[in-house]
Amino acid sequence: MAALFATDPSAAVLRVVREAGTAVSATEIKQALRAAGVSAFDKRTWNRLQKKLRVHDHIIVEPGYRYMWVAEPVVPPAADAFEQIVRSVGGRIKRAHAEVIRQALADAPYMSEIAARQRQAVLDGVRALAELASEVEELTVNQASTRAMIHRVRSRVKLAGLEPIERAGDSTVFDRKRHEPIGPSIDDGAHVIVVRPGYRWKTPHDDVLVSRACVQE
Amino acid sequence: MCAARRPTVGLDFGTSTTLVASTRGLIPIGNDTTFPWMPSLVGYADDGTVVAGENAQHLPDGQLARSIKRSITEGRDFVRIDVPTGAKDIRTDALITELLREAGRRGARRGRDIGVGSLVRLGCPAMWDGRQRRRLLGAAQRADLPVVLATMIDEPVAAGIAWLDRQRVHTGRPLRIVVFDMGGGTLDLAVLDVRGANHKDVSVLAALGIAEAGDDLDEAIAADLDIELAKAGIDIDAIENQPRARVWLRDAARTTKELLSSNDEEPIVLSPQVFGRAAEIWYTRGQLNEVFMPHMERAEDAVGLALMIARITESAKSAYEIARMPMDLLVQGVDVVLLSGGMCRIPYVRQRLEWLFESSTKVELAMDPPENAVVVGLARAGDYGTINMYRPAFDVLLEWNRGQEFRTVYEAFTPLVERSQIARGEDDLRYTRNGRDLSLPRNGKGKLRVVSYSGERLRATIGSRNLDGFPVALSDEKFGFSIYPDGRIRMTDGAGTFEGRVDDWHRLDAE
Ligand SMILES: Nc1ncnc2c1ncn2[C@@H]1O[C@H](COP(=O)(O)OP(=O)(O)OP(=O)(O)O)[C@@H](O)[C@H]1O
Ligand SMILES: [Mg+2]
Repeated sequence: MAALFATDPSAAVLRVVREAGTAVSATEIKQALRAAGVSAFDKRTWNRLQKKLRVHDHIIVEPGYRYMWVAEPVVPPAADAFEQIVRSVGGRIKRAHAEVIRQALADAPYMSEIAARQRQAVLDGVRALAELASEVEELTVNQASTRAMIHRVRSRVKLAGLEPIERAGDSTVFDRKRHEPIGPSIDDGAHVIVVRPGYRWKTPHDDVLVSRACVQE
Repeated sequence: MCAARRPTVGLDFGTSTTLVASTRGLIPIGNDTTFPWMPSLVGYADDGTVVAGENAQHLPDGQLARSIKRSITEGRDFVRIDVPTGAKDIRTDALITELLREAGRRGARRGRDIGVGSLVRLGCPAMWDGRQRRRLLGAAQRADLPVVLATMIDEPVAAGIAWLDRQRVHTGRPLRIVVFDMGGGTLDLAVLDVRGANHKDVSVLAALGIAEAGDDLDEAIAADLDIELAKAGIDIDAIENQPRARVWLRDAARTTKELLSSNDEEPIVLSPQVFGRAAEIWYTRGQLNEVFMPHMERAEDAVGLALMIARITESAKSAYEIARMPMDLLVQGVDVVLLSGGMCRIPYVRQRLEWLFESSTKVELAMDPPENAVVVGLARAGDYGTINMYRPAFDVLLEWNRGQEFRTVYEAFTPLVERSQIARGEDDLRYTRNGRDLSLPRNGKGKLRVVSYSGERLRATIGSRNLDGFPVALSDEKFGFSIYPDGRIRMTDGAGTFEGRVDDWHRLDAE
């Protein structure tokens, strides 16, 4: 032991803790080293050894600063490990950096949930589209009136938050924010006929122009 | 409470759909479908295995149990189902277990682990008594879900929590909330009193339900469409395949109802294959409202009754007076009416409730979409204290002979006031039991025992001592025990009369 201490003092300390088979205090470690013939060492040397011991993978620190050897390194939850790192670096870390990582760690267990929710959002859109498609086909075969057909199409897309811009066949005045000319450019205020309606997507948080209405002079 | 720190999952076992949520929101559990929920269906496949959810959807009707939740509400223990060996009476609880097991499994796969480390909060209709709650609880526990009676929450309370959780400003003033939860199968109502600096103490003053909701409106619309078709010269009774035409009409009724929530009129274009010829009728929101009106009137009567019960809970007025209170007095003092359940998307529901309540009462969705309010509230309920003052969550037992013998003086979740008591206009409304009801011994010494199901000890006193352990001079003649809706307790025994109260309950008179 004395020889080991001379070449690798940390390894000697570890061996003392491992062979103790139970949690031991700093005093008990020092006593064991002395009993094994290690000559006295100064406080600075011990502080350095203690620091290394504390962060060793196989060592856990029990209440009252007692050290214990464990065969399998204990892996704490990521959030706990991060908090330990934050504590050990003291104040030398930006608060915002720590917060950003804390938030990411808090979200991590919910990743599969977030993925499932994203997939659901896509499915909601797909279902709406499929309902629209099958309804249009059914209405066509059932000889629905044009009015019924257009009405139902607009009802369906409205459920998805889509708001029509103009009506096909209507005449109006040109507004470049809402209208797209077919062919050469048209001056604002000119009389136009709507060839095809456009759509906006409106929710309490969003207002997106999906497509302008196509018009001609 | 350490339980609150464990990951919490909400599970809403509805009449037609079952939903799961974490504290972050809905966890989609649909399988091979575009919907985020699982249909509340169970049945037996041709090979005799039990299937739950979407897989049960395609089974022949005889092999399927629909609306299985109603078996608990209606107190039915068995359902007749075709299994490979012939028709058999199957225990409905066993089927519910399979359904919940499947929902739990899916929730665990998509999101937080639903295992020993987590906590499942299960909803139940506010109108269920102790036996009904224990039935669902037993079924969930046999499905290996980590649930206890203390984590079972009344559905309208959960809907209220979903709303409270989004409120950023808390006045600290008590809030009076009416929850109107109208789904496919039932209308569930509750009157809540919410207190505390952050409005985290939710107390149920009244709760009741009626089994009339979306499905019934679909039927009524279909009947109205039948008349509209007759006007257009189509007689359904004369159609070759009449049952098929009726199913078509019922589907059209539901679709039209749902589309009329966002439009004033909708076309119904008949299928010539089904009806023998092409035809088109237009159905308006006005027509729908007219058909819906009698349903909404019954719903409003139920709201009135719930408000009456809440008044009895909070005031010293006699039931005679309260039973005669006009609606415009009953609706006073309500801060907000919360709308939950898919049917609340119908504008007429909001309109009627706005007319019914005072103009200072807000009428809002508990959550958007309203079908998710219950499950999201369940997942969030860990941060709230909930007390049911109408159906208290504790048993009071009277034991003697060193606990060898006992009687249940009050059984948890029994309503303190029965509807019939209000209808009779009785005075001094309360829950009460006497020595003869309980067939007590003539004399001797006994003790009161309190068993709480709220997850915490009940704080209740009598004769300035703890209710739990209070000594009783037994007497079959004199013994009487009452709990008043406002939390007062009175016991008479061989030695005298003792007054007490449930200290945990909101003191509604003290603002
Ligand atoms: N946009 C809509 N407009 C009108 N009604 C709707 C709309 N969307 C859904 N509904 C109706 O809501 C009902 C389903 O509501 P919900 O999903 O809350 O019921 P549930 O929880 O399965 O049943 P319950 O609460 O009775 O056990 C159905 O009748 C459905 O037609
Ligand atoms: Mg529901």
